[in-house]
Amino acid sequence: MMNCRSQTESSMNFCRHWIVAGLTAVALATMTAQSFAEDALSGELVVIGFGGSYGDAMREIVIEPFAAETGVEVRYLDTCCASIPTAIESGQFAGDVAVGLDVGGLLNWSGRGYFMADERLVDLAKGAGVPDIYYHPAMVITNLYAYVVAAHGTDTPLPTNWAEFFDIESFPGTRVLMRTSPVATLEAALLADGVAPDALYPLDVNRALKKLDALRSETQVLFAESPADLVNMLATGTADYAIAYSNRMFAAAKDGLPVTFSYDQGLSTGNGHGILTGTRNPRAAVALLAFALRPDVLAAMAERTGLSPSTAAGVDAVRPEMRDLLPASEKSQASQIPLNTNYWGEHRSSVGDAWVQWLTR
Amino acid sequence: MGSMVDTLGQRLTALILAGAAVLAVIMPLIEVVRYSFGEPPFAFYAEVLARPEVWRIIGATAQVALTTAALALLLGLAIALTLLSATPGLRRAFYLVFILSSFVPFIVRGYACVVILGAAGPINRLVGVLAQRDAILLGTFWGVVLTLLHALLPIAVIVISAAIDKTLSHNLRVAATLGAGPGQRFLNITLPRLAPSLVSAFLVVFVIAAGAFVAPAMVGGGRQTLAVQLVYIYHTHLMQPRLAAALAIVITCLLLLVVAVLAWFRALSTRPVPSGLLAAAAVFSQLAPASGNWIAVAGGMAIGYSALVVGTVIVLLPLLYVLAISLQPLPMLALPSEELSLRWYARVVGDRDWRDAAVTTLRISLLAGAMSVCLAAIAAEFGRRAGRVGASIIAALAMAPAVVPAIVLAIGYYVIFVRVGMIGSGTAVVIAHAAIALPVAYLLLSSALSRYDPGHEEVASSLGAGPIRRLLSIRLRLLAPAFAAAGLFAFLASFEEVVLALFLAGMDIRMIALKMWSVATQSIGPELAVPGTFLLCASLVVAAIALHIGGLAGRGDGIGHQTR
Repeated sequence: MMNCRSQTESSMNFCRHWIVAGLTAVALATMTAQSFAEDALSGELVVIGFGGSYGDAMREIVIEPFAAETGVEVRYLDTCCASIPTAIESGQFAGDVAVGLDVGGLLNWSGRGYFMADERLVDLAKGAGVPDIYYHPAMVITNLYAYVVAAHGTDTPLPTNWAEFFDIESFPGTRVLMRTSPVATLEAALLADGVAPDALYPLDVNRALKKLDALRSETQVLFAESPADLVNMLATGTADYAIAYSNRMFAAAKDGLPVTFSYDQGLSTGNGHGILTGTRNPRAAVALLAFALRPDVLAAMAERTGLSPSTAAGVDAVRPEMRDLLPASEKSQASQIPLNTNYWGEHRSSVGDAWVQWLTR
Repeated sequence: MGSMVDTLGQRLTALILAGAAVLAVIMPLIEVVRYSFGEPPFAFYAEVLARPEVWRIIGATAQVALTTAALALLLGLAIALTLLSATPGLRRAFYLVFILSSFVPFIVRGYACVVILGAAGPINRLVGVLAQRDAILLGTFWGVVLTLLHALLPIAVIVISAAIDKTLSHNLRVAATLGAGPGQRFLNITLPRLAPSLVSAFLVVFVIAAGAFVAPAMVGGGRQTLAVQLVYIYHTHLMQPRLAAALAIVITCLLLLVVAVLAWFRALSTRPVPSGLLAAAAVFSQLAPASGNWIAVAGGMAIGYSALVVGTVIVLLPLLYVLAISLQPLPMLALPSEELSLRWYARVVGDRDWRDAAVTTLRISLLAGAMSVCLAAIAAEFGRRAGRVGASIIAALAMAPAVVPAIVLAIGYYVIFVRVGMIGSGTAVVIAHAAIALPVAYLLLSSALSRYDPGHEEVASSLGAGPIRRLLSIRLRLLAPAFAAAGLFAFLASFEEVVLALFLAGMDIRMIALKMWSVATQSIGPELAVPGTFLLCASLVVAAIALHIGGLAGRGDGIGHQTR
């Protein structure tokens, strides 16, 4: 501009051209920005997940920062999930995104058509460095956790493998198992019965149940109605040993509850999010999943909930003193055995049926 | 002229009743039945009936429900009769505390039961000291029965004591002056007079216990699976909703059969006492030697007061535990052992969700309770006039919402409300909750009506009072305590309900029970005990005010003593 003032008229004209051009550019830029704004994320997003501590963490670490950054209005409903199948099957809007479901549940729902399949989710997972066994167009696996041996009290001798967990003589006391699903319980029984980790699948369900029968005849076995119930039984000493969720044990120990756990022979799996069929805002939904996969977000979730990041970048972002407590750290991963989620995706109902029959016997 | 208005009014009410019954109870049931059909039509039923666990669990459920109902009946009767001879103040205080204990949602009291029945609970400690052995009732038959008894004893006591009035105590006094022994008085006067209410009390406890879901889930430790839990397992864990619906229909039919039989029995018991029973009573009273009278009186009092103590402990202990747990600093369910903490109070008070939910809940539950009481009043009136078969049918219909597992009813309602575009509206929740609250309101009103003497109205009519005046200034006034109790319990039924709300409330309606449910499923801990404690305090304030007003009015009779 300084230059323009000192120019001759012709160059003034030239200068004026520049000004016009500049203004045009600004106008164009504004227009583009506007069209970007129209193109950018907007509107509303309804996210369905669980309540309690997971819900609080989700809200504070993922939902609210995402909303602040993008301007999308996000509502988090913590009443997952009983009514969602009915809603989707009767063509009702059930929400945009379901968060915090385990891989088996995600696969099951995807098989029933409750999730929108979108290749962008696979791209997201690849880009973020999620392990390739979890690539799936209907879900993004954001977290890893494991089913681990846990005990009441901080000085109770801790079994170092499933055989010891089933050994009542060396480790006397009440056991608590999850009632709502046989996932991991059957694997643990088979490993305790001498099946090699790489020969677990397809599961020998009868053999596993026989091993559990033996356990039930030797000591009191309680069955928890929910993961929270299981933690409570263990923390209050109603049960002495549990097959427990590592993230829950991490959080319980952090809260000062008298529990211990170990990753030895932990059965590892993941959980994550999916976009519900009938979503009204698929772009914002994909953006939310991308946001949830950011290393800093994953690390914050991990430090708060004990759910390990599913990506290496996420694990690296976790504070070093907490890293070893997570299932995805190098140290704890060495001794773990991965659950075969595809097996569970296919056999969930038939094995579940056998489980119900056994439970009510 | 008056009688024409009367019949017209009756027909109109009959029409309204029929319409409401169809909308609130029959339509969702039809949807569920349709939903339970497969290809071939009865495929799911065949599968349900062929599954061994179904019959095992139905048997176990019947056992739990029978034990609970029998205990509630015995304790309730002993408590109600003992209170008859207590001072009016004590009696009123007792009834109010009993009723108001229901103000704390069961999900919260259930957690207290978990603590009480668990390893660190008083029962295990006491038995440990006395008998040097473990007595962890969590996950046992008796643990479930005690928890159900805790939840249902107040209702049993209220239904039974609603029938104990001044006429009864007057008759008993007269019989005593004429030389009838206590056994004779009990068998010849008390029992026949209370019979309909006893059947009602047994009915309501049996049906609610048999349909229990939350209690066995919380204290059953996975070993005590009851029938409705199995419906949930099929629905939610095996993801076989149609199989679940078929099982639910089977359970519903069995329970409706029980309801119909008991309603028939109740209709029978309002008629003069069968001579066989009288003869038996005579034989019994002959057996008791006259000199043994004072022993019988002392024994009766001892039994009565121990029942009073046991009942009070069963009802009140979990409430005290709720209070204590709310001060536990750690996120687990146990009595605070080292320090007391207010962190959960700070959390709940600082959470706007709780406050918003409280307002919404109050609105919805008041409406649902009012609607339910109106329906129940009309149904009870028609049940009284109808013959034995008609009475059984009306009772079965009115009890149906308590008998059909909520998750199945929820699916039925869902389908209907989707069709009319009302999912996610407050109206949908109000209608469904009015149906859920109907059974308890119906039981309280019908058992009060069965003792109501229409003679009062005939007198009023002969004195020129019109039908509306008769209704307002005689019937409603005389039945006011029963209406108050029915309204309160209907309100609470809606207040506590989770499953229907979960399906029908959609995204905009947040209720306290839903908030509690979402907290409870994710993190079991003292947080829920905080709203529980608030409700406990609120109910104590209500009790204090009610007692104060009662004291001012100088009325000597407690709840249910309507025949003045």
